[in-house]
Amino acid sequence: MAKNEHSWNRRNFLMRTGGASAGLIFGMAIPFARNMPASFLPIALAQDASNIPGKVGLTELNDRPLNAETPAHLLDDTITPTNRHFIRNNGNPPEDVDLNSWRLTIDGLVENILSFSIDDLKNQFDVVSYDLLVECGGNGRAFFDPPARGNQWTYGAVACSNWTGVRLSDVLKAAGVKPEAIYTAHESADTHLSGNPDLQPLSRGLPIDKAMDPYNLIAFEQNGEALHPMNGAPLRLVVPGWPGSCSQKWLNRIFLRDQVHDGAKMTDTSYRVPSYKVSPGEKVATEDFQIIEAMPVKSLITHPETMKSVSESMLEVRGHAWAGDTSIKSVDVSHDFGATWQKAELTSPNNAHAWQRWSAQINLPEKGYYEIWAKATDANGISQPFAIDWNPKGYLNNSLHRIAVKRV
Amino acid sequence: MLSASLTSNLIAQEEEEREMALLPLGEGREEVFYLCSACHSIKTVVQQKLSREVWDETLDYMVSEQGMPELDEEDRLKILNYLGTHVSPENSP
Repeated sequence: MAKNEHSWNRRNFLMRTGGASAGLIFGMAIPFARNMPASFLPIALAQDASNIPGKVGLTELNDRPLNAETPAHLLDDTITPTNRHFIRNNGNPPEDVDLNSWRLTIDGLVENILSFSIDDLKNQFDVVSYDLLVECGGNGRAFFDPPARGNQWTYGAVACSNWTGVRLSDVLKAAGVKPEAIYTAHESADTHLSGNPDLQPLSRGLPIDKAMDPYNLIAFEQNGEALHPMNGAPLRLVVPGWPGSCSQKWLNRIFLRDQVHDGAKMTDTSYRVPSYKVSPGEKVATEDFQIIEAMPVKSLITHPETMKSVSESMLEVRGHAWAGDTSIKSVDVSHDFGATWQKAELTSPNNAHAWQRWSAQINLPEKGYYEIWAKATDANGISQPFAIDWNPKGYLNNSLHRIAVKRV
Repeated sequence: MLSASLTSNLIAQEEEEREMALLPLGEGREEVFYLCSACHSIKTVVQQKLSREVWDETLDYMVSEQGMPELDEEDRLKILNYLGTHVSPENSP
């Protein structure tokens, strides 16, 4: 089987720098290039951990398919810059994407089969911008014990960028959803890693009620600019609050179905958890798994960076909190392993489905090692658990985020 | 000046060596490398630390859902033994 070539890996990055391999850079030879371990990039190039064009500071989990997350302290902005938005690819992204010839088809159980260019979407529907939370369903999988298979995300497969597009609900209404339709099905232009054209890397869908949420966008801009190629350029869904896989990237078709969609990674145990509580490591029959819908309440400490030393007793701690389809009521922080808690200041979300900023001034009474813990509570009174609610595929880890701080 | 295709081949070769180096030495290492890297990075494999049982399920999933060719019994056992031993919670590369 031939290795798949794609443009967004280290190999091509090096080629694009114009040197023969890494032996020549900025017009200068590197005298001992031969001695450089193969996994090292010259520091002159390594401004970030991954060297993904247009991204800074991401940690690369894979390069084929490309999957990269953002360290928590680099997610401190209220609106996540595009260069810090995580990447979760299931297949090979399309290459040589042409904005002008891109088409989106709406078909299946609709009154009118429709096909749009991106300009058609802009001209025929309201164009809106919202700050929208997107989190991978497997964020936090790395902490599962026993381990669960899949990308070993730690904290940073989450982001809240400002997205611009048209409402999915407006487009579906224009097509006229037939009464028997119960589910959407999304398709995209990325290709399966195996090279088999009959397989799709990912094709997810939504129950009609969720699809009609006015905050779901068919988006063509992120933070006021064209989408990043690895975040779905030129067109993608943004379905906030549900697993990121619902937000199909490189979107080119939505069809309406009278059954729960059974596309790639909709069935068996993909993006599913057991319908009852299980003990860590327990075997669960496939038919006992149910599709993940809204993601659970969660928070992240984005300042300070973990493992930092501070000299002052007063420490500002801050971060974000979010909760699937609902909002956050309160965030509490602890600096003594959960013995005492103090309320953090909490802002309102910029719009529904945006994360909420919180901050607290914490007094570290004497020198030594502290852990800062953050615990969010959603509008329904549900809080983050201390321990992981283990499930076989490693989804929905919303256990509270802890960082270490040393007062010196 | 190296031609673009020669440069490309050299870099491909470097990358293959770099990926191979991620796998610890052991019986079945080459089989794992060529089977898995046909479609995805070896980083996908070594970032996970799975029990033999979960690797077993993963191989089934790769065949049933992800287009991996069915393996004969001997190769499958060799690959499973390697993964269950060298890419496990006890021995992560």
